Amino acid sequence: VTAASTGDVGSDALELVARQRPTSPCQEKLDRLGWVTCEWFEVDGYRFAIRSTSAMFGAWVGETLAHYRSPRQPADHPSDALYSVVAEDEPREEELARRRFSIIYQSGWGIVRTMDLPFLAEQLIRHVDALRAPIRDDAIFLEVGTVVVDGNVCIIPAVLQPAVQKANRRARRAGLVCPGGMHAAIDLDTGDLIPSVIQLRIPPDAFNDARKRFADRADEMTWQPFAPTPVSALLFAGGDGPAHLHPVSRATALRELAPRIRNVRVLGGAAFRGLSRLVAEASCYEGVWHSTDGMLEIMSAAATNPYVAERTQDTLVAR
Amino acid sequence: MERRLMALVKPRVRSDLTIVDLDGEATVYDDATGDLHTLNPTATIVLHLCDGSATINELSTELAGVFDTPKEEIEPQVRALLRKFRRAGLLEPDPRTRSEGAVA
Repeated sequence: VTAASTGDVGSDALELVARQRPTSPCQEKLDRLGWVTCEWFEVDGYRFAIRSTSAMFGAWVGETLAHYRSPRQPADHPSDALYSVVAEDEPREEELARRRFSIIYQSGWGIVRTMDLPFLAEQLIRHVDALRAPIRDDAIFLEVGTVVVDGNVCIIPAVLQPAVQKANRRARRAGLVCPGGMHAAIDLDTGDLIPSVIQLRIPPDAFNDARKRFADRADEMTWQPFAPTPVSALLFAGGDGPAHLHPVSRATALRELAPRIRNVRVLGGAAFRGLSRLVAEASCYEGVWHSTDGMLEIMSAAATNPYVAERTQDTLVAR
Repeated sequence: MERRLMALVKPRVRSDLTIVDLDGEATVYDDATGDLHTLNPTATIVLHLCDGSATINELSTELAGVFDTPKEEIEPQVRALLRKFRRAGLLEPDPRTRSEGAVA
């Protein structure tokens, strides 16, 4: 940012903004990528930018979120983008053989990593929609990740979701599907995981359009809760010590999940009653692991009940 | 005088709290403050007995029977627990008390 490009804003103020901008090694690397689009949007008074390395993807985002476009302001800088989407335009023929991941970064965090660009497009809109979660009352919005094994849904800490997605191929080999996203909508009355209703004003065929536009970069659709689905297990990350998976009380699970409710101020006690229904029906575990494979194994075990399936790798101990 | 007043207090859990019981452990959410409290099984039993129908003395007698423990041993623990409940704002203020925290 230079003073010349910023109109009335003084250079001192800009330096202050630059100093205040959180930087991380990942953020700095991101900033150096070749961003070809960067658009600003405003949802319920909250301004944010989405940038992309793909002109085609950027165009789709611009059209889909057209209702929320916000004029760029003098102090806006591409590095302040909330979402950074790394995707390839028209992959060259030789690249089709070794397909690459498309990734959504939220600030410096990789939150969705997939080879299915239409799916990534939908996930991006779901993330933008989730910005409104704190003011919604149609479901409990939890900041968590999910993994699915043989149809059994296991809720995991949101911070683990990127790690699972990074190990996507290994996860699939282990029979573990990672839907992506870092939010889950929970039915207030049943505690089931439900498909969250997108409340943003977007074209009704936006996702079909993405599937058509990015058909050459589609993959098998990743699992999503198309219908209300009971949660089989809750897994929390433990501290130090040998790798293990052991049950925790449901009250402990509720206490761990409570700070993850994004709309507790709107729902109040109803959020806890709904969440207690989820917790009451699920097996609750704490796990410790020391490797990605160990993490995947523990997630898989938690989702399918370790007290039935004997696990041996990574010195897994069921207590 | 204050001691006599205290003997008459019948602790009552605030009716506007959300209390969720899971496997005998209560989780209490206070909508007014946003505070979340997790109670162990014993504290959960005491909390559920605080329905405004019994004095601390009567509560202690009941709990002594449940835990098969002398009442003299139980009562100081019940009072200490009720003080914690009171400090956490889980109990209705008693109109007969003159100051916060003087109840239990």
